[in-house]
Amino acid sequence: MVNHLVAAIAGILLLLAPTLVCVRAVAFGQGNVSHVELDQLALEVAGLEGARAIKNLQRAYGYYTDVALWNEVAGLFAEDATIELGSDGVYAGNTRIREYLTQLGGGQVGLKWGQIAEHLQLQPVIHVAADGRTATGRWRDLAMLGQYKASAAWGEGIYENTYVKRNGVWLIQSLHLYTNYIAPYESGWARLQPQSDWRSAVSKSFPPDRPPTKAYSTFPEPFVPPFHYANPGKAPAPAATTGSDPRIQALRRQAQLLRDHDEIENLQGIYGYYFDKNLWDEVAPLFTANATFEDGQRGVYVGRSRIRKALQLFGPNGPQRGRLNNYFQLQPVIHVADDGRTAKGRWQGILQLAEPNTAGAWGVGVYENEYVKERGGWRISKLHFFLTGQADYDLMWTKGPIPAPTPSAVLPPDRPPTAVYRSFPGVYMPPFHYVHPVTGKPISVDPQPGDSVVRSK
Amino acid sequence: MRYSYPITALAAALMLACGATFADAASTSASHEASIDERITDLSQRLQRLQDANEVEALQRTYGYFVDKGMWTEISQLFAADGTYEIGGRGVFIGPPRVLEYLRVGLGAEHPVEGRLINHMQFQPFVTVAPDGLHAKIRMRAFVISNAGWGIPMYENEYVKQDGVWQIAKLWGPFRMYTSAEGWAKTAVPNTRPDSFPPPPDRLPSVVYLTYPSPYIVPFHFPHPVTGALFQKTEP
Repeated sequence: MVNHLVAAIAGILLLLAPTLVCVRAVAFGQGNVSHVELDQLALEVAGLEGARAIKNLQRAYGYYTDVALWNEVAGLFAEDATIELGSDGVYAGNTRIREYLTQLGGGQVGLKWGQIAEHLQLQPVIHVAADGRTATGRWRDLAMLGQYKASAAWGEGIYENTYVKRNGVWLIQSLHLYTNYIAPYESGWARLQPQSDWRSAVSKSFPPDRPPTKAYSTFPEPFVPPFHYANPGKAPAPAATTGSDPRIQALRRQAQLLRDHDEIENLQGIYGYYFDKNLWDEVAPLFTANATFEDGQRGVYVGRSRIRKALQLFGPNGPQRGRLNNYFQLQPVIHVADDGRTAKGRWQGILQLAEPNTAGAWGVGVYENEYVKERGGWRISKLHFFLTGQADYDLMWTKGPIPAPTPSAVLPPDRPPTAVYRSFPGVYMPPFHYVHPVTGKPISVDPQPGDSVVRSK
Repeated sequence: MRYSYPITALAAALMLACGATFADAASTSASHEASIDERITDLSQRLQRLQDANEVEALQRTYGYFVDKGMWTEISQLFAADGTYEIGGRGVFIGPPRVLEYLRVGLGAEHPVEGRLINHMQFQPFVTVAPDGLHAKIRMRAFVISNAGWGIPMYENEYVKQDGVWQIAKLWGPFRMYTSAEGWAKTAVPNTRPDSFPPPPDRLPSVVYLTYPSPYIVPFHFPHPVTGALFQKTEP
């Protein structure tokens, strides 16, 4: 108490003499280093740690939810937090959140025998505020739901969440899951019919504190969950500051490279979220002016304006009723060059596709992309999606493989495919941009090992 | 990671007076009690931990890319000399040669085979880097898309940094659920056992548990991110 008083008085005195204070800060430094400069750097480091802590937090939410540990789940939320799932409305306060989730899970803590409700937490796009006290995050939820011998369903949706740092600990401030679909395993997402009322039974017996903040309908109706961020391809990036002292400069460089890594993870995630909804005018600005774009066996399109046209090969501009175009961006391995100007990234792609009157399809493949930092920030300079397999939803891999699309006759590519291959049941091994992480040797692969078409090489 | 430092009005006043952004009071105040050198060391270590977390994630994700294509040799090279490998209920294999034997003898031809799809996609890493900067743990999950069906193993792995290179010290992948292409309402594939297929393991399974439809909670290596409470281990 006394200490606080003394500190407060000291603080007031110092406030009255700002010039003296700054002189003091510099005087106490060594060489050109000042505490003020270090404060700025400390803020940057705290921001990077914040992004990491938030990823852990949201992933823990998934892990606890999967096994119905509702006390642990509720404990991740701020006391005054809110949760909003699908069209159920808003539940406020972590006591209400715990009760709501417990009831959704069947009323008990822990799973019942045969119960499954896995919610994979994927594709984070995290932005920590400049003051390091709040943050926002977009995530993708892939769910496997059901009860053994009774039901099975796939689910997919988008989270737009906010986070807050209190007493040095990050908490969920608001969690909003925009459910895209919950589809019976048997018939899949392509045959879903519009639903007028899709609230959960729990939301009727245990009503929310507030109505839904946004009324919308699930797939097959088109809906784009709002984005918490501006398109990074259209917004100028803030200029980086530099320190005077070599030691500070070195740390700043290190911090900047880590931020570059996070920004590229965001960029590719953002690409996927736009791609899902056929937002071609949002996708195109993510590329550099002379970027290349290559998908499967379609050939190479060169330059942003050609890429914008080529995107129409994936459907008309904007979300359409009954058309699912989910392109998950997952499992990143990102390497930023030492000079911080270029980068490469490998990503795992999962595709969930549907067009009206089809069974729908699954797809898998690998991205090997390149990035360049321009004046406005990071852009994609080369996108290469190696579509390695696609399958009809009903027939699946063995019976229903779909060959990769070939160069369009309507909009021929600027260059032929850089890699000609047969996708599943053929095998293609996309080359790695990086060396083996332990041996340090190049990862050599035979991209297309011999198969029944070409027996041996 | 949490940092709790005493907050003083002095630090706040200093920040405001000098026109700097008012940062996280917790970390700025620490600051002024520490010397410039101490602060530089602290920031440098924290940046290194973040870099380590990225590298460990990349290592585990690379493991997944290797499994997808049956790159057994490359997988075995991710392990430390005494690294252990335990998948499902097959027991523990110790060291890269035994890891390689497990994969080659047990899981079939090295490198891809026409018509074989075994994607083990690595998702949702919860990374903890130890204060010594030489050890790390991950909880992670695989999402398996295969021509036989679907699977969702969990991982609780450990990593060690030797000669500046992160390696797998322990890869433990208990299964949550495996099912055929008929889906998880109809089919549940039982857990594997040490005798499910050759070769035999070096050690017995570290935990014996039932997979879906039975629930088994794989213990969490991390304390609750907010309350700090340790999860009480459940019996399988």
